[in-house]
Amino acid sequence: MTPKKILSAFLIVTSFAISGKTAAQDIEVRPVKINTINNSELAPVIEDSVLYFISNRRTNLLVTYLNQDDELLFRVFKAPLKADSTIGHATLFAPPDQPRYNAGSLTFSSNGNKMIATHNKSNRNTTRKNRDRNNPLALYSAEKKGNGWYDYQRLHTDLPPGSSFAQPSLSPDGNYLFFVSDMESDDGSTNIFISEKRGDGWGIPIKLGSHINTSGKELFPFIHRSGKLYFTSNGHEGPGGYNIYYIDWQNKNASPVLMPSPINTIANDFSCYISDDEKWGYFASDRNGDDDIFRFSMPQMTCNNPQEVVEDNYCFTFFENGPFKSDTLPYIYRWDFGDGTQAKGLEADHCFPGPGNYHINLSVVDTLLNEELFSVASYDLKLEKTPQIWFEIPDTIQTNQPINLNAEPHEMGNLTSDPVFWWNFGDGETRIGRNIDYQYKQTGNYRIICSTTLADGSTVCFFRNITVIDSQED
Amino acid sequence: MSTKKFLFYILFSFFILSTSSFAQPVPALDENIPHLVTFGGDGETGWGDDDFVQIIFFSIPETFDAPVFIRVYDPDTGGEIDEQKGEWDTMMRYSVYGGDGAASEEDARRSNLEGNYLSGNLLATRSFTENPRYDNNWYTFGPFNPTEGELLPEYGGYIFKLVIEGAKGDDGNLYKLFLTTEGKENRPVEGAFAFYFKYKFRLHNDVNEVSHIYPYMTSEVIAIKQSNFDWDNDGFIRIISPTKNGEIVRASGDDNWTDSRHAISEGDHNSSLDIQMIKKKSNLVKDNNVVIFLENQYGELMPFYSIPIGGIPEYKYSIGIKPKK
Repeated sequence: MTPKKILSAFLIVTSFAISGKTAAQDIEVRPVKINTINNSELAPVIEDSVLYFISNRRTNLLVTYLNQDDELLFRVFKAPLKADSTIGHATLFAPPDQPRYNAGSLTFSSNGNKMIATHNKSNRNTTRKNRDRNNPLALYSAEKKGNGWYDYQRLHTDLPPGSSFAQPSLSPDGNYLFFVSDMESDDGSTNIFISEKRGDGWGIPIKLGSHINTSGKELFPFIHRSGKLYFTSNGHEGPGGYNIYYIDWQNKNASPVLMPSPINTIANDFSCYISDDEKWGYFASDRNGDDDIFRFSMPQMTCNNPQEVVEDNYCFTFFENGPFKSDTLPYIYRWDFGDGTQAKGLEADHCFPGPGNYHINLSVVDTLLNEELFSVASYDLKLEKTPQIWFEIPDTIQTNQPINLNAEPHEMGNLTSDPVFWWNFGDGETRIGRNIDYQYKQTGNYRIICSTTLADGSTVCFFRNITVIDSQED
Repeated sequence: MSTKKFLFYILFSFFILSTSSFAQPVPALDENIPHLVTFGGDGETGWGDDDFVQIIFFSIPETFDAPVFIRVYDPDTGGEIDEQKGEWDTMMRYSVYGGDGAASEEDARRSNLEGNYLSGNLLATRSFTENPRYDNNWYTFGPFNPTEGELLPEYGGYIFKLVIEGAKGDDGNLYKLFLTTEGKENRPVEGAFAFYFKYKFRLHNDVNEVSHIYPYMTSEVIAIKQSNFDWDNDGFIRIISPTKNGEIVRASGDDNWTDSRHAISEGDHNSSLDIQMIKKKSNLVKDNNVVIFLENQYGELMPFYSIPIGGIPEYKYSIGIKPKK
């Protein structure tokens, strides 16, 4: 794959209409000031209070590096993050030892001493005569020494030379490297691979499963310290061409969770960086015409007095509730429940098929007089779902046992048109989305809270309790 | 019963009954009782009459100024309706009383045969033996000027008392009464009604027929005691009311009295009780004559009315619902 092919995913500048709606749920999204007009800025990543990103902005007025489509090559830039969350002046990040051409996104080790970057494999210059020759992308590691980066080493040198490897993301423990490649693809689509640390090198890349990779393009993996893998795809269901998702990548039964609006829009939204606490981050989007970087911040969900999710019960016992109490009355009670069913008895148990309006009618047969008294009493029963955010979980699960949570608002008329559901798993982990997959890592008793913000700005939250036992105990 | 409390009954009932026009048959239509019964004084109590005397009161509105008559159906004791014990040898005496004390005398209300139950002015009397002329036929007492009754406005107007006594013999006299404006036909006196404190009657021989009596519960009543005689364990007696869905009343056996007490709650106040008499479906007790009376918590007799004041009471069914366990 040529650099053009990978980058083309980002360079799509279309006339996507941008929704006039304001962002729901108070998720704040705003472009950062390092964006430039008519150039692309994308692939944000933060290391040591510095925002790194790539851009195809011009860096040299005298020399112009173009790809085979006469487009400016992408280079890495950096800009300091200020204490007030604003960003300082962006400058080219170009360690002297780094490969010469096209630079892609970066990833850093947790201690900040190692960096893996994306560059073209070949440092050779090309002319217009041989411009059709491919120069695939490759991953390079570099070590930090002092204030500089040195010892650039290409990774996976034993892999097919014609394939590209790009957009690395190193796990917090440094043992796994996620990246994108067009390897094993015949149609130019890209997939996310993982490679495990083996001594000083990396194991054979393994393509992640179909719960993540699709026939479309998967791009920009970002492995969060929570274990969630954030990524970009145009192959999963979502509002735009490219959307940002996250998933518990180790759970093969999990489904990607779409990041909420306005992070995702009908435009192309891609390449995210998520803070450790998942309360803020950066991503790129072409919603304003060209690719720009945006900062988002999640509202602080304050959940006061969460209500326990209750099972809606449509099963009732009916009885004659008049003032006279006797167990030996010579009557037969005939119950008509208004749903096409009848029953006999002083008391009658009945389960209704679901919410609705039911007209219950009681007739009485006087066995002493052998006569039936029709409709001696009636009861109009209106069954509704309990107003709540309904979700189901097992009472007890094992550690690492996948669970799926699906938020279903019941009878909550004052929801926003596009509600966002916030999940707190009680173990320090949070998630956003209507349908969430999750695995507990530690045993214990937890309270899962699902919250959402109503149209009037208030927050409602509902919980269920779950017990997590050791998988070995079973 | 104190006069004051009894007056309360009458006052209230008068207010309601003033709209009713058809309360003069005794037994009343709503009671579904085939006949009243009085045995000759030489009869045996085990045949269903404890003291061989029956007393019925009629109340005529004070505003009614036309003559009234009291008619008796089949007043003699003989023929096809009455109950023969050996030879027909019974004399039945009917006496109509009015004037002071006719109804206000407690001995009259209590049927205290040792006391002054024949109180008031005797307006008419006639004794009957077996007489085919009156078999299945009416005899008329009167005319009476309504003012000949005992004027007790608080009772609803002028009160006449009819005393039926088994003067001699031992046969059972079965009969009906009607308060009428005409001497030769039954035309109800508008606004009039009948009441009685001790009721003697025959139950149906058809086991599917249900008889009723309708005492009225004022707000002062918190308990009643019913007493009945010679029921022969013939089926069930039960109370239907706004709060009672068939509370069983103890029924007597042969030739004996029994009683039972029943609480009256607020929901039954200012309403009649429907005391239903349901015959036993098997082993027909034929020609069953019975006696019944009611007392309140003070031991005061409570009247039955020929029509249910406030209408026939119905139990107020209610549907209760609770989550299924």
